[in-house]
Amino acid sequence: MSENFEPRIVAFLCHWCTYTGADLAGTTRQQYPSGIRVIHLMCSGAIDVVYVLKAILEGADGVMIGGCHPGDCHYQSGNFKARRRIALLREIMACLGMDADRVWLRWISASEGRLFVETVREFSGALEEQGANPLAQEWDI
Amino acid sequence: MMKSTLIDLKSDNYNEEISGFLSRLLASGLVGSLLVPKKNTGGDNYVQALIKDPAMLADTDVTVPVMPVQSARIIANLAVREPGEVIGVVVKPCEVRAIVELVKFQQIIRSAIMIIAVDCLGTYEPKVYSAMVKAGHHPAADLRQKAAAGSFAPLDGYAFRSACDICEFPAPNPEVVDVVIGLWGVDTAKQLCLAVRDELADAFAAKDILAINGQEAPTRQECIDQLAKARTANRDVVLGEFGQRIGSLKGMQELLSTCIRCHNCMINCPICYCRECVFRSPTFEHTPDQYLSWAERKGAMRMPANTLMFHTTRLNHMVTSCIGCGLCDTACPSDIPVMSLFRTVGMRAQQAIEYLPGRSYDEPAPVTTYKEDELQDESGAR
Repeated sequence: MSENFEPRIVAFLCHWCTYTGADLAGTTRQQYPSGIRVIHLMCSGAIDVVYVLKAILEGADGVMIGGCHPGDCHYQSGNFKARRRIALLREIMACLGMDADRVWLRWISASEGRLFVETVREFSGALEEQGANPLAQEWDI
Repeated sequence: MMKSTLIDLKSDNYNEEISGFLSRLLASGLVGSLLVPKKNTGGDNYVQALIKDPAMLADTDVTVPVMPVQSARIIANLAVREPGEVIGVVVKPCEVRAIVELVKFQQIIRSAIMIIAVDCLGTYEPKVYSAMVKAGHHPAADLRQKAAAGSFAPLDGYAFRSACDICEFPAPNPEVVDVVIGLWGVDTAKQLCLAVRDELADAFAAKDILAINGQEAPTRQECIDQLAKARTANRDVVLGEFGQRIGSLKGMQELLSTCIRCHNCMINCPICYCRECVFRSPTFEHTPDQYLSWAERKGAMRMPANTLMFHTTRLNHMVTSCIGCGLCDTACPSDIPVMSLFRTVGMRAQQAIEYLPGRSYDEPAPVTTYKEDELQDESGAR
């Protein structure tokens, strides 16, 4: 793997918490890996795994889903539903020999800009060790 | 609870006796119509017929070993809204389990149907069944005779659908149906074996639909238990091997190598009920330059795109409720073992969340619910 490898992360972030937390990280001028591409959702519970799979199969190195801490969901239970869906996705990925560690679900609140930065750094570091997603080069999928 | 009955046949014609029972049921008004497998005009297949006129019960056979369509799909069309009458549906155990799931997904109104579930003797692919009939065989009579002794074996020279060989449910779960027609361990040349839900049993007796004598076929449960045990063992072997086969990207590529993206597996799946499926929408119809840029990056690109994504998404959307009927196998024009894929992944997923689709109306479908204290480490908690 080249020394310049910077993992590309597609992040689906909840409007009420992680997205605002990412915003806080930015407005307080904290640095985090620039390979992250953020998609704004109204709730982590609004994620359809088809888009997570699409990202992974198109070659994103990692997908992060950011939601509110348990009990804090703006819509009561969206994050709990997301957790089941992502757990199932990771189980199925494992059955099919796909690398389930390329999908992370994390709870980060609107006030946790620092945690957002740390999480992205941690994820990016983990992905650097795993290397680039081999699916990016697969033509027959 | 159910009340059972074992009645001596008045004639030597099992189907006539069952038709008589269904006819009296229809005449009683307890059901306004019946969905029953009926020999079609071509004579080489049985299809589900929605019957209003008792005379049309001629040429019906509740035991027929063919399932050209998953009846739960038809029933979802008939009973997604209040149909204005109770529809009696004669179905096989896997169809019952699909009905239970669709009731939970609010696609079938449970009170709008009377579920008359029949012990399943195994089923042949429709084209195989048709060939057997054309060759002069009587597949249903053959299997009924074998079932009396608890034997599960296709006619020499033919094979059951692969889903049936690994199906753990040779009989319907009495907890979720209204009437059970028993065949295992029953000498159908001489006897009729039925069980009826308690409340209905009284109505059946009051309206002279069926004499309930409390007798059971002595060896039926034993036959069912033995079959379930043998098939469960077979299932574990077959799916265990299959799990190895799909456990890598290359394995999946080989599995899906002949997929023509017709979506037949999805269209025939009773659990894939969404009226507006993402794969039947323009969501993933990209612009030409998008396809070209992907092809540029990879050097080439399989078209149509998203074959692996289609199957993995379908797994994610419905595998927790997959009841293993195998209609996806029947539907696949390319002979991809879709059922084996879904059952292999489904077993692991269902075991992980301790859910058995079709078991009960009371357990919510896993994708519609959650527990606050589950899956803590999914979110990176240490």
